Amino acid sequence: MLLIATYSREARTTLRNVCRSHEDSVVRRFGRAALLAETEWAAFLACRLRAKHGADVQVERTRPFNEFAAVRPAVREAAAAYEERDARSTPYEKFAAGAEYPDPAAMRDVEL
Amino acid sequence: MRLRLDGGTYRGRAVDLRGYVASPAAALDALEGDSAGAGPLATVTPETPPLATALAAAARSRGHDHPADEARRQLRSELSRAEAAVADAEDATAALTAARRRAAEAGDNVERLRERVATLRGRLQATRGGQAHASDAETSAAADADHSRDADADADVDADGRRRGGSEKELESTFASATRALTEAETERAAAEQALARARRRARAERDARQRRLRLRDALANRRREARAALARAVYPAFADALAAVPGDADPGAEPAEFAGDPVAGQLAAVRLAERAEPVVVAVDRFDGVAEATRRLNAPVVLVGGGRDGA
Repeated sequence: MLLIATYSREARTTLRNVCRSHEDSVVRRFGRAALLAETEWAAFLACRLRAKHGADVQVERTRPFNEFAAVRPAVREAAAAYEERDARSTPYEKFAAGAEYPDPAAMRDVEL
Repeated sequence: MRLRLDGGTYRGRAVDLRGYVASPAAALDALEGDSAGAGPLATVTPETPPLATALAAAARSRGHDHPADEARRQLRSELSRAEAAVADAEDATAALTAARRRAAEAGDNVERLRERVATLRGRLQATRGGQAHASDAETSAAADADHSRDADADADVDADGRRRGGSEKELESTFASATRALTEAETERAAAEQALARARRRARAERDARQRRLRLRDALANRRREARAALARAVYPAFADALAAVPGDADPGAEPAEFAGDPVAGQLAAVRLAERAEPVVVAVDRFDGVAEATRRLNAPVVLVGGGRDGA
């Protein structure tokens, strides 16, 4: 999908108007951002926004996140286990230290 | 007031330009004085500003202040710093666009050369195979067809062994140069990707500044709205009295949100409520004459409408 974020009131207004006029291309709207369908038409809209507002428009191409494909099982399991922890106040660093869960610093260095 | 128009000068608290000047803008331009013609109370036209805006201006003219004024001054100075930060980082966008284009072209180039290398490799293998089995007409024909697509190696392959040997050498050198070009293109692509990553990092810093600017602008607009609303509420009882003294059908209700009826009446009442020395240009037909308008609005008045400039 195409993620469009705006950085000025004018660009935000244009994005709002674009989303209103082209609802079928809009997957989700946020305050000053929107997710558009991955079509040539949506790309056309994104290019128009960029042409009109330059640096006040950011366009990124996103893809769905599949935790079963993108991430090793240990990461998923650690996340599930941490959310099930007994003491809410335990930080993950401490939670992982005693067990076989992945080290947070190591995870930060691994790209998906 | 003093008003200069077509070489003539008008003076006094009441100037009637009806049948002569139609547009409020022309009258505002003709007014002399620094603050004349500024603000939401400078004119009364059928297109009124939001009531809270007019009321807040009237309240300020009556010396009302708002506790958020200091916070707004603070926000304004933060905003001007954020705006300066954005201005300093201005060229990051152009650089990012150029980096995207370069990376895309470098990627296309690699794809194109990969295909070419693969084609040439296939052709080379076919040529060598054709040499080994000279009688295999099908392979030879296939190699021919491939050759004719490529001007670099557009040599005839036939039963002549020597000619075929020369063609194979040509093909080998074409293949070698294509392989070199591919290596160079891959190097360029890696460099372009790195440049794009750098440009993205710079753009992220620039976007931080833009985001900060946007937040401050929004915060300032919110404070302004709050101040307007508070000021409008502060003078609302006096506004209701003023509304009773101007022409037009409207019910003020207990607070600005409850105002119902003729918006021009609201605007006229806001003008009457205000304590301004500057003249107001009136472009609505609500008064018997300029003297009545001046008295009802409690302000110097220029009446316009139905003039030779149209409207």
